[in-house]
Amino acid sequence: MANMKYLLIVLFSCFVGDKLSAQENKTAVMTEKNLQFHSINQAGLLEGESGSAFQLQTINGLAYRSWFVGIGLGLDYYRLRSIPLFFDLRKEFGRSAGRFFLYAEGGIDFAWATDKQKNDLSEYPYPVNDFQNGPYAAAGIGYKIIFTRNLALVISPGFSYKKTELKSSNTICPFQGPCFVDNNLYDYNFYRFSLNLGLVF
Amino acid sequence: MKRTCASLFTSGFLIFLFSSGCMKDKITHTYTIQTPVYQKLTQIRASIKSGPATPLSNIGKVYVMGNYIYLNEVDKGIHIIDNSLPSNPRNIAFINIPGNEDLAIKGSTLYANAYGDLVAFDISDLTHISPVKFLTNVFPDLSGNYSTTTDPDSITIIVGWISKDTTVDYNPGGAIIYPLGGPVLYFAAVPGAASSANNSTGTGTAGSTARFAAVNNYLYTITNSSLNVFDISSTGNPSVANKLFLGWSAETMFPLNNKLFIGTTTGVLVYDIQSSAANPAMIGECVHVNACDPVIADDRYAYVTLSDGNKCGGFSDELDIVDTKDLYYPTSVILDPIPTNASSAIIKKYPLTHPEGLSKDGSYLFICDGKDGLKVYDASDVTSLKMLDHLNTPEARDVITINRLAILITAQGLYQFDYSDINNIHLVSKISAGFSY
Repeated sequence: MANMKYLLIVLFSCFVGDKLSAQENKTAVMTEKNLQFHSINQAGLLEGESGSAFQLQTINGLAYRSWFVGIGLGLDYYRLRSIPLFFDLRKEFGRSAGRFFLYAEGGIDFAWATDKQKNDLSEYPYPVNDFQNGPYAAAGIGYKIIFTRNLALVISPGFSYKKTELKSSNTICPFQGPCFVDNNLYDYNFYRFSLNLGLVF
Repeated sequence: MKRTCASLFTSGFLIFLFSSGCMKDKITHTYTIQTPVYQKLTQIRASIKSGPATPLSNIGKVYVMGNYIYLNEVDKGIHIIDNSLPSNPRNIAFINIPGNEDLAIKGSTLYANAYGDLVAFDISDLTHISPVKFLTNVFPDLSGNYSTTTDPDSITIIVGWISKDTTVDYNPGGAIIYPLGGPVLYFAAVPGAASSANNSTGTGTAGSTARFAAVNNYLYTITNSSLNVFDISSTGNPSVANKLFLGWSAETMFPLNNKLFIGTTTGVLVYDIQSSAANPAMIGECVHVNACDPVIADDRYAYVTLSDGNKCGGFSDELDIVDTKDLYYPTSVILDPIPTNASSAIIKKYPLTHPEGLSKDGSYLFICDGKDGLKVYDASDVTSLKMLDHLNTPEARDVITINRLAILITAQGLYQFDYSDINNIHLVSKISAGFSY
């Protein structure tokens, strides 16, 4: 994962150092005057206290002028595998082939634990319910390089958040005293930095 | 604007590269601290009395005597149902018995445990039932109090819990999740002042999950580790006759033909009570895989249901048919260790869903198969059981068959089925109950 970070330094140099100055001289392109469908497909890295993880996303929606709104579906491997389903809103700045944008996302994160993640619970002797779905949110800034009307490259660092819960409920009959129901709730809030690289069609 | 965006973009990128370790996950664990509520045995005894009927809830054991059904409500007491008309059973009374888990009846005396006590009740008048004798703390496994004193004022029992939810930060380290094991029980020193609690001559028929059995002039009871024998020849005046160590896994007991079939988590033990009723002698055993297992028997075979689950640590869900002639030790041989053929007494196994209690009437075998309901088999040939009917009931737990009635305990109450026509088994009545666990 550390090597991946440094590889991204090289990418970053290629994109920003070269394109920022070059793109300014190109004539304005890609300003959507009518509604047009776009699909953003990106892969990314998530970095947080629990380490590094990959994510994949596909965001499909409509662009109008400098705005884009769409619905996204992803695969998030940070700590607990999950599938975020979210609304995505983007605002681009400028009219050149290289332009910055801001994005914000919000939706639901569907927990989809792997067998290993479930097996990690085997040390707990009582029946445990599965992970619960929770909210998902992300926001950040990005840079878009437009090649043609239907092809662009995006790179976007930002912040990402997802939440899940794990509940267990079991009847305990102790050695002394009457039985009772033992409830446990584990509340997981994951805060991450994210860096995505993708293509826009 | 562009310069601002470029700065933001660069900053974001650099933050991702070099400062992502600053992001902290927040994980919390909310659990319940249970603080015990103590009560002196004298106070517990003072609350033991009968009263008007109350709604059924948390049904445990079932016992039938004459026209009456006695239903244990776990840790609370005994409901009395007038079943003179099975199509219209009437809930007529409730005996408040804190800590009650089991019962048996001989004549006009009902024997029940109240935590560690054995209590004898005069039930000659069901509208006015009162305890007539206490045997103090004869079941220390049930009270958790192993003191040798018999002074009820010196014995304290945990009668309940004060629950308090607590939330703490949780850091399980490298594992995805490593929940804390078990509940948190907080045992304070026993308080000086007790806090109030938040608190015929024939015998009847018990369910297959019973731990009490009244046979002639003796009451046999099992706890996890012992077989207790009480002399009940004197009406309303039980006395301790004997106590045998069984081990740490006894679960159920079924009396038949002067034998006691005791189901344990690892097998079936057979005790003879004919030679000496007060001194049961072990005459045979059968081992099986670790599982919860009620057992019943007829003249030739024993029927053992095994079910999985954390309570017994088992992984099997099945019915085992045991040829009882292979259970008994040869009288001329002293056997040590356990005979190697002890498991060969099992002649047939039938997979089931999650079987619990069972009952047999002639060649008809009734099995409570958990969420699968009640299953009825023709057991004329035990090596080839034939299902006659499958009644989809709420989670079936135990059943008594008597007078062509199947009296069934489920997670949602008491059900009664008429099987006088085995090809047309039908529901005649039900009384709903609530269950909290």
